[in-house]
Amino acid sequence: MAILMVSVCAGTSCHLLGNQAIVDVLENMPPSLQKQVKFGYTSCLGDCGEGPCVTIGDKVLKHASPERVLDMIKEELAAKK
Amino acid sequence: MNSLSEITVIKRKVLKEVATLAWADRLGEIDALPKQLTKEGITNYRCCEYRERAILVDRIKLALGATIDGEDEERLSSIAEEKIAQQETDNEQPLISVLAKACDRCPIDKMVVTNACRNCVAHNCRNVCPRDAITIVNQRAYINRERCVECGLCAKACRFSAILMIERPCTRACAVGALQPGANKITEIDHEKCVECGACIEACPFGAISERSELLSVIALLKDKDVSTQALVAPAVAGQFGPMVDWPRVVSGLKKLGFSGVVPVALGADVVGKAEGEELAERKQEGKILFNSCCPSFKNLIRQKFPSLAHAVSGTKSPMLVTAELVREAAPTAKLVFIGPCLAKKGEAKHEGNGLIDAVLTFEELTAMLVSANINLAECEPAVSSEGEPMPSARGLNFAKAGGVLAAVTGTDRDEETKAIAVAGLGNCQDLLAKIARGTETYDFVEGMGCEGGCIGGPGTLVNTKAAVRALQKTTEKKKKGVA
Repeated sequence: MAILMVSVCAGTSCHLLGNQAIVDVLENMPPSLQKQVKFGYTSCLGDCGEGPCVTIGDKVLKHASPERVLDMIKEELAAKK
Repeated sequence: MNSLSEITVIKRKVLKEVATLAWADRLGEIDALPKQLTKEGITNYRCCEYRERAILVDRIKLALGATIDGEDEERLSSIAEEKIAQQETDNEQPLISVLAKACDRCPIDKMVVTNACRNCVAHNCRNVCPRDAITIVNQRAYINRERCVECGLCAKACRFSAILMIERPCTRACAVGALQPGANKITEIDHEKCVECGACIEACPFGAISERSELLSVIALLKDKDVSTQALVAPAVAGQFGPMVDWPRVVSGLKKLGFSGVVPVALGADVVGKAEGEELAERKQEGKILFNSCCPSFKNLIRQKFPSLAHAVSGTKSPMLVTAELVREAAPTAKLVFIGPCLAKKGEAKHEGNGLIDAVLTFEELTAMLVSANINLAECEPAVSSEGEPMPSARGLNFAKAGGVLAAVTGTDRDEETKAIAVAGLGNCQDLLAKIARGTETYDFVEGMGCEGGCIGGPGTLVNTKAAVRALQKTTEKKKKGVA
């Protein structure tokens, strides 16, 4: 099974705009998702001010919220199958 | 930490925009900010954009360090001008204010009968009510407000859970009862009772309670190249700026921002731990109790509600002030800015600081300043510590979490006979102090912390307590292994 790479921008701007909430949901993903997703951090995606930014596979999600991140992860996983 | 709600994000955006204008000397343009922010998508109060803007005006006033309690219709740009001219922050004004326009005037009645009431035959609610306050009106239980004492027994007795016991989030969060519905049901703060813990700010789901910032005066200090400004950073800093930012990066980022020196307050905590340990030994011999002196909310609580226990508070100064004295010795003319998770430190700096501390920022405010100055801590080159630079111990760093002060003061080779306890959360502190005042419980040492989890659970933090504890553990483990 291909692993979906997710990276959360941990730059100071995204941090201020609330990337913590996204990290929280990624750390507490259901086991079924945990097996298919690997997440890490990046220091800046160059879209400060439109954060929090998250890269999911090869797509960049701006103004990310925990719900939108999870939805997009599920979409990307479904598209891969 | 402020949970990451829309409210938190709005507050941070306001701080960031105000800081951006301040850096660029463009505060004259601040009158356009409320409109700009609503255009950028801040629309939370669904009634209309105008109300949103009126609330944003109040948020901006607080960010500028002004009060919102007055009736004045002054323009933001003139307030900003005054504040810049004023130089020093006006600390006589209340720190925490209610944004009357944002307050939703939540219901005052605590006991509420809902539609779920089926007018059953048993009428457990009526039977259990000690004041005969419940009658049946229109096929439903009705609570006579004159008689109801809000004991909640009816809510517990109803098999349909049809009676709710609700309380305003702000009044429930305030352990000292400083918040009450005032005129027009808008919450009012009794500043005589308030201990400045900030719990109400986090509790209000409408973001209707907020604090004044000293952002402007710090930016003015940093812009003045003739002034040396030193940052005193609280031990709770661990993990505050995200997973990629360690202490050396914080140091380098703060220097980039304009601070000429960055000093960990954990150094002062090390001194305090030792001094209070000695105090504890002395007091134990005299059969007296000792309280920690580092939490200003805890101290305010004692001063206001348990004056008979005031003698128990340690005579040692707090780590913030001890560190300030250390820095002052080395740099007599420097301006000192304390940066931490705490609101009550602003009051402590004013009342006990003897002018040592020039301003107090929260981690949240500092981060807004960094972003407005385009500094990304995650991409800062880690600062290299110079040889012989004093480093705090793990014990000093652990002052940041509940139980850390107790561990430092009682020492690792804790005397078996020392009876010590750590409490966190203002309500818990109050319960324990009441027992001690009554004499039903006795201790040699009490660590009291106003915030749940200790300082890392403070209102000015950016990450949740769990993540902060994890980061703190990582730092202290490194220390123990001898890695810088």
